[in-house]
Amino acid sequence: MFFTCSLEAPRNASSEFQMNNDAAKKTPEENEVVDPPLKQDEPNRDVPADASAASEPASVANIAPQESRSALAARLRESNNVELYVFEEAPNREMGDIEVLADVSSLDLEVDQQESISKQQVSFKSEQGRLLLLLPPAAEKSFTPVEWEELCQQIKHRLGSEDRFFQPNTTVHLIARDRLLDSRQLQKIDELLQAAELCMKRIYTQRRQTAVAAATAGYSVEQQTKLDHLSDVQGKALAPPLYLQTTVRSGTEIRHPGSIVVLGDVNPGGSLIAAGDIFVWGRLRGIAHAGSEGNTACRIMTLHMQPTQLRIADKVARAPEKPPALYQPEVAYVNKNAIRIAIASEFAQINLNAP
Amino acid sequence: MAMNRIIVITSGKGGVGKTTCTANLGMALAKSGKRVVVIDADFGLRNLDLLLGLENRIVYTALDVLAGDCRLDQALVKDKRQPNLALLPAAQNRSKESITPEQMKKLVRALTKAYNFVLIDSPAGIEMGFRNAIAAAREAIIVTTPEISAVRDADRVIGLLEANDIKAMRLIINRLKPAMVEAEQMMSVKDVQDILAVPLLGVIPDDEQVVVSTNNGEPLILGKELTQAGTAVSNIARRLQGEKVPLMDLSVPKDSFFKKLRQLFN
Repeated sequence: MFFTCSLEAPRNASSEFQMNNDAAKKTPEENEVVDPPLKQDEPNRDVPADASAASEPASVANIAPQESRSALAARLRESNNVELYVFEEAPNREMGDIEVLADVSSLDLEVDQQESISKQQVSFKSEQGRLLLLLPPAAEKSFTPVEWEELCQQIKHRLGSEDRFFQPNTTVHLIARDRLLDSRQLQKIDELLQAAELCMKRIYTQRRQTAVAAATAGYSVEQQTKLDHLSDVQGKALAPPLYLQTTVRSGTEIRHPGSIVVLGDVNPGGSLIAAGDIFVWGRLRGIAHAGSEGNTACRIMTLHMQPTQLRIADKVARAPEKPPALYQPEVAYVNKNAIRIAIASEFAQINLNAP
Repeated sequence: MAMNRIIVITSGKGGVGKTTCTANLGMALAKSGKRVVVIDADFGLRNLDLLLGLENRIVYTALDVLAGDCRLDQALVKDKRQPNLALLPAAQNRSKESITPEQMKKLVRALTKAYNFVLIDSPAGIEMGFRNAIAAAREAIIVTTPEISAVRDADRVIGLLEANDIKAMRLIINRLKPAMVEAEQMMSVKDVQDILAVPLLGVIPDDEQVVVSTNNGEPLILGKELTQAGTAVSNIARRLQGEKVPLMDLSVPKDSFFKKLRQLFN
């Protein structure tokens, strides 16, 4: 391993970001930041941007988070302004800082790729009346049992929370990409789909062994060397919105390369990461990251804004210690380089109904 | 014949009272005339035998049964005070990996033939021991205390149970301190339910007698006069059998009525 120090630091930071499903592991320096009290009658829970903190390069902020945070905290204590959200440059190189991203990928492409692969999730896609079940591409290392169980859980979770949209007896095509699946695993996937009244018919795979296993089990198989229209990994266009009826509980992370709509609560320790908007028809108490690929125009909307953390593109905001007396539907958006929160009806009047 | 109930008692976090709940619940169900077996699924760190005061009567463990060294009925420790209750002890000298979910299912399947209730005491955590404990279960009781960390872990466990097709879940909130809740220093029952969104089976108030009974290996439920916590457990046992028992009033007596009234009008 030959990482330089400046590389190591963001890596740690981003792994912390990945592990965000355990919000109980709040680092002590985060708690140091004293959140000022809430001003009740202010409609816009706006926060003036702290220019110096926001303009710091991400890597510097990552290497010395404590200094910048405590400096920020000190400034906060001094100022009498009412500030509701503290924000920092996001500790993730993936989130749109092109300079940092280019730097890393040129030095260490392999690890970077692996990391991004492990973040991809199972997804369903409807195409011409059939349903495609897309498995994430296999990581460099082969299919470990743990990964397989995770995969099963993801399939189950998606089936459970999207089932209102699946017509019974819809044909499912499994896009296995370069995953190695044995007959037992294929059977398990089939069982899961059958429980949701879906039937698996065809399997697309790039692996010969998977093709053989599938053919032996009686599925029709298409072995492909390349998946052009199906592997939309490189695509820039957003995927169709992911619509889930579920409670996103602690430890669950939902990633989607489009907008996410959740009917239900997002509990502390749960997280939503969307390339587009996030819409929570319920209570948002976990982490929400909208515009995860760098789009600052994305918004987070919820009936009950009580997040552990909000992220839009490369901006991060933390909820105040003192909650408002009354929760109303609110919208979080980026304005003047910072995340702001407005009451939904007022936000709509100003931003959505404008001629 | 009513279906035999297989219930796992789990929490995610350690030290919230899973084992105490299992022991007392088992005893309460046995007292009401049901045949109950409690299984200690905490291989390597067994405790349930201590709480039931049965430690010195263990000859064989579940592992001996699986290894074919003894018959299942030889490993079961029957409680002298309450003949309806039996314990299937875990091995103390082995790790949690020494048994598989399949083996666990086999054991439980055999036990359901002779018992109305199979209560499985899950170890803390969400690893192999937990997976063994939930493998055979058809229902789950989640035990939590009104603390943010316990609730967080319970939430995670609920998600895992759902993913493992255990949909019948109920919640016990243990060690509630009504005075602290009233002073807004502790999460209230509503706060916990708000997050977990699982039907409430009961609330057990904090009770020093629990420590005494644990140390004596004499479940609270066997006491001549039930304490508040003991009553709460026996209510839970009744609710578990489908009886409608209202929640105990745990509010602090002093002018709590007016406080409630005030809260209503605010």
